[in-house]
Amino acid sequence: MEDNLIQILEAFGYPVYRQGSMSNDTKYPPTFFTFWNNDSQDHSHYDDNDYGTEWDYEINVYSNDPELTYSVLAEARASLKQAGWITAGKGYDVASDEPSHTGRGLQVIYLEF
Amino acid sequence: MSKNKLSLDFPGLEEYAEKLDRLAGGEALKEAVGEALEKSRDFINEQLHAEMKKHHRTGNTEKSIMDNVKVEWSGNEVEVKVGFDIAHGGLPSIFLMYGTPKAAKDQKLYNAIYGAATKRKIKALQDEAFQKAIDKVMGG
Repeated sequence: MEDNLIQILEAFGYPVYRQGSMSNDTKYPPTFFTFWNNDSQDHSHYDDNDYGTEWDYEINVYSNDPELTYSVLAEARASLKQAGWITAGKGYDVASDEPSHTGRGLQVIYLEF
Repeated sequence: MSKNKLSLDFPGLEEYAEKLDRLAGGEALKEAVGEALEKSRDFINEQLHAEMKKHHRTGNTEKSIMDNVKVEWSGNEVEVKVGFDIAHGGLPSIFLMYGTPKAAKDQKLYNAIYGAATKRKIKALQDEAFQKAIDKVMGG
C-alpha cells in the first residue's frame, strides 16, 4: 500500500519523504510531503483466519507558504479518497523543524482484502 | 469530536444504556457513563505517563497530561478530554507523537492514545463499567 500512497502523493510534483528520514543538515524543500505507517493490523478474524489488512498511515504537508500547507493537504485528501483511501477529518497541525515552514497532518486508512 | 476527546464507544452501548435507565433511572445511567469515561481517561493517562518517562527533561510536558479533567456533559452529549494540554506546557507532545521531517515519531506514545490495543482496552473498560452498574442495581 505504501507504493500506492507514495504514487498518489508524488503526482502533485512535490518531494515525498518518510517522516523523520531527513538528515539534520538537509534544507527543507519549499513544499513537500512526509508519510508514516502507524499500523497494519488484521481487519477481521473468522475461523482462525485473518481477513484483510487495515493500513493506517499519516501523511503530512510542510510548506513555506501557509496557504499551500492547507490547500495541498486538501487536494491530497481528495485524491486519496478517490483512490479508495478513508480519511479521518480534514487534518491537524504538526510540528516543523524549521520556523519557515508550517505543517498539517492527516490520518488515512486503506482496507485491503 | 476533537482528537483529544473521548466519548462512549463500545458494542451494545445502547442496549446497556436502555436497560440501566429502565432499571434504575437517569441518575444511575449518568453515573455509569461518568464512571466509564473516567476509567477510560485514567487508563490512557497512565499509559502516557509511562511512555513519557524516557522523554523526561524538564518534566513540563508530562505535567501537562490532563489527569483530573472532569467529564463534560452538554445535553445528551458527553465526553472527557485526554492527553496533553497543549496550551499549558503540552506543545512538545506534538513533536513526540507525530514526529517531524527530521525526527521520527514516538509510536508507543502515539499508541498510548490512538493505538488499536488502547481502543480495544477502552471498549472493554466501558463495557465493564456498564455491566457493573447493571449488576449493582440488580443486586449482583
